[in-house]
Amino acid sequence: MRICWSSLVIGAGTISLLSFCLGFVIQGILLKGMITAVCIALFVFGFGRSPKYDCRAERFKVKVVHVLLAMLVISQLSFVTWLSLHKWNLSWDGLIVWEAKATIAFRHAGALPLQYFTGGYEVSHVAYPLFLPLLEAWIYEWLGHIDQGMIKLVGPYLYLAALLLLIGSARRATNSVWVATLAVFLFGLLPICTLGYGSVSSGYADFPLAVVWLCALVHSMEYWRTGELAAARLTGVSAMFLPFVKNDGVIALFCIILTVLPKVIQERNWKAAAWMMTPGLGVLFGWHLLIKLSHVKEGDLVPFTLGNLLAHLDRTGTLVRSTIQELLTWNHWSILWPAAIVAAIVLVSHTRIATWYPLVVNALLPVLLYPCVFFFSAWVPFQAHVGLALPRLFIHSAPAAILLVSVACGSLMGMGDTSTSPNDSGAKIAESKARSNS
Amino acid sequence: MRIKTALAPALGLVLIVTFAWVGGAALISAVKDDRAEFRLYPEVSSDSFLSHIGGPHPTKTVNEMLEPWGRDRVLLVVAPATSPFSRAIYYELMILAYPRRIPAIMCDPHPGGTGSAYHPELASTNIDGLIFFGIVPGSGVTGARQVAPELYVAPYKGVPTWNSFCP
Repeated sequence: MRICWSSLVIGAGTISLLSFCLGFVIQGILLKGMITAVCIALFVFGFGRSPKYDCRAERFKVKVVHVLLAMLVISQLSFVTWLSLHKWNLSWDGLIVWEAKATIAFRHAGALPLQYFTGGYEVSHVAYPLFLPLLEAWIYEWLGHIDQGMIKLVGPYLYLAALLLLIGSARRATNSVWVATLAVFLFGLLPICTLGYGSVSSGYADFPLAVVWLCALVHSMEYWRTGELAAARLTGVSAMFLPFVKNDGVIALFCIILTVLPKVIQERNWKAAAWMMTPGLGVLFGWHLLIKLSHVKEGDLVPFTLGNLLAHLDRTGTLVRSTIQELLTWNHWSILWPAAIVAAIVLVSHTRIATWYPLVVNALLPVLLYPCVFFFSAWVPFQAHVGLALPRLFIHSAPAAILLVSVACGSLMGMGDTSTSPNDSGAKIAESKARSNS
Repeated sequence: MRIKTALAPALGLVLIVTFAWVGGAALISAVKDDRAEFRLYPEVSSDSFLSHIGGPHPTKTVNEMLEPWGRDRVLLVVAPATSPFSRAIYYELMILAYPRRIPAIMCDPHPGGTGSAYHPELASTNIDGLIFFGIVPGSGVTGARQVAPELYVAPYKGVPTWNSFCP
């Protein structure tokens, strides 16, 4: 089921990336047809390879917790859909930065022309990647016209993907539907993810990046648990889209690589390492090569050099203060970040490394890394850049933090079992049978 | 050990309840304070950006205004630097006008001022048309047509000094 829910994210990413790559050579009906054919082919290929026992409808008893979970999912999804369609417009970035590219791509038969990169459109941040705009352009292509109302549904679509990934991952980590329910419940109570700039309803790319990151995290957790090549492949495919959603995705990619590196080195599984790292690094390298060849100048950041870092070290105090202030802004985050720190301590002291390590790295390391970006801010004063962008950056790792808090709370309250993996469960059953036979 | 066993679930419960209470209160407050209400139709967001040109369907008005000009035309936007909406309207005009090239001059409020030019590299390019936002075209501009309460368009042929169109 976890793989099914990932397809919501991977499918959207595949459409965007294929639109970008194929758009250099084909446009219009041919581009649309080719992308559709590839998506159908991938579905048929995956369906054919999937183990048959996964496809059989399993009989299970509907319990109160299942009903509660379903009600939570439906109510939250309805709420964010209403917010997206009726309470928030595409604001500045949503329209000028992201939807603008979709409009231009639609007027160019579904593909962004090279002229766009060199034609003086810096106002719409030409150097920003294209996951969201090309997904929006895809919607325009099938509608046959530009529709700024309909593309607001991208947010709720990805919100549904996030909920399902949280459910699948929390359940997998703890063997408890109650912990999955808790994760969904807490996720719906994060104001900054629901309403405001960067949220699901805003048309910005921050929430999409958070969902893609969650997808990559879920599979990296599975890889930690099982060491299977299938999990490594899915980690790599999900992580591939991170640098294609926003340039900040490079930090997400770094965290995912850091997540899987210890296991890869421990097991010397270089094939898995290649699967997990090459796609993302390839997309990152390819995108930045295009930007460099187009001579696009991005005005928000100075080059990432040691000299610039040393020249701006005096910003440290301001960045530390701003970070702490933001993390404790309760009407953005509730108590997510203090709870995440407590959760990390709980999980590190009580669970296996396969459970806590991926969650702690992806929830808490970004809190240290993101503020460091502003050492390279070109804004004068840089504090304005921090105030505008920092809250949105933390949205990216918020789902990981929710998962961390949920798993830890579940562990504290005795819900589920984080001390065993599915593989361990089989061994324990065999062991107990052997004991009862003797 | 017994105290630890009792404290752990209590800590979990406190975290969950506090999270829910604080987050729920903030979310309800944010939704209540947000008075905005948008209808669902294709140009809802660009209409919001262009609303200060006036008229019921500003995006449609702008698209109809741009239609007569070919894709390779250069149209100069003239707008007041003092208006807080000039930049937003200019940027949205740029996007709707794609692939036409759209430089702009934001007029200085002080007479004789130079104003600030957007895409000054096009200063020596032939201008095919003029778009005025928030400024009524001077008598020297012939053929000007009002397309919206705050938007005028006029044909042009030549390489002008951009701030010559400023009041």
